[in-house]
Amino acid sequence: MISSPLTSAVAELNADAGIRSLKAPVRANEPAPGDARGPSEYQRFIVVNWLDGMPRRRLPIRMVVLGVRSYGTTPADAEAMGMAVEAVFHDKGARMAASGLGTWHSYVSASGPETDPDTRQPLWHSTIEYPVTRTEIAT
Amino acid sequence: MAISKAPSAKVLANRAAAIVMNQAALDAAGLGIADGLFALGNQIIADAASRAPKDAAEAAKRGVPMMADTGHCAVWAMGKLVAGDSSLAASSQKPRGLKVPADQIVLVMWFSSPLAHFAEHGTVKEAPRPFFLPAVNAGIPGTGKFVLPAMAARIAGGAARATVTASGGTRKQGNIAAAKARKTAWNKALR
Repeated sequence: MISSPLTSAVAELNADAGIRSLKAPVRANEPAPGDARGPSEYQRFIVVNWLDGMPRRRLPIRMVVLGVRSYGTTPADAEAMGMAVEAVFHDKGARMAASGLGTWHSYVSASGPETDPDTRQPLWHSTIEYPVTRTEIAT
Repeated sequence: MAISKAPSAKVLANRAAAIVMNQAALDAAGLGIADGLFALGNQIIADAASRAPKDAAEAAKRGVPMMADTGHCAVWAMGKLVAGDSSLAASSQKPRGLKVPADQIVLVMWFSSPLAHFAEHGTVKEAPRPFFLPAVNAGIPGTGKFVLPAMAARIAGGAARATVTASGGTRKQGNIAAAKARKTAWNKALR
């Protein structure tokens, strides 16, 4: 079974000390029930989504693009969370996840502040270029 | 999205004439690149529109165009607009804050719906439904298929026409003069 790049990215975030210090749960695909609350009850959480993932022809590489939404308690808090996410992925060279999935040079191609239209919670959106192998790397 | 007051026919004519004048200032290779990029942009916007969420009933209820119908593309060359769809000339829907470099030919594509980025990236209640990014990533590798034939066509056409005109000016000067004359005629007709 081929490892999921999304799972690999979530694992990278969870393994990072900077992200752990935020005490913000990292979710794949969608928030968990109870994450999203109304004003005065905002809490931190991070959601990682797959935006695109076109495989390259003749190369065992998939050009995955991930969207990371870092929800903070204030706009400044969301920005700080976004910077912590950026530190995990931006300009990071070749590496291998525990699953065996290889990641080439990942970087942040776009980012900026946002407000959720439903809860008005501030968030920081990051688009991550995350090229990965299409199969696990044999070690 | 609130659409600003429609410009007058005179303003539209001036903008159209300005685009022709801007085109006249480009050489054949530059024009070919601009033509090719504009064709590529149109294809990417059409592809993105086909992938975009569509809710005609909701759009009608709100009195706004469907998100899928709000895609635009335009090309700026050396800082001047040289190709764009009619809605760009007819409204102020140019992306806010857009700055184009003065020494490059740039294709800009965008969806003017204020909801487009929520569909693309998702919200706490809705999963992302990316439609623009996949279309861009699918379209960009085929850039050469659009740009090279367009450059070849412009260069071939330019070589045939690159003769000195009877009045002693070059063809390019002639194009600029013709565009200025058209603009003047339009202005007179509209007075």
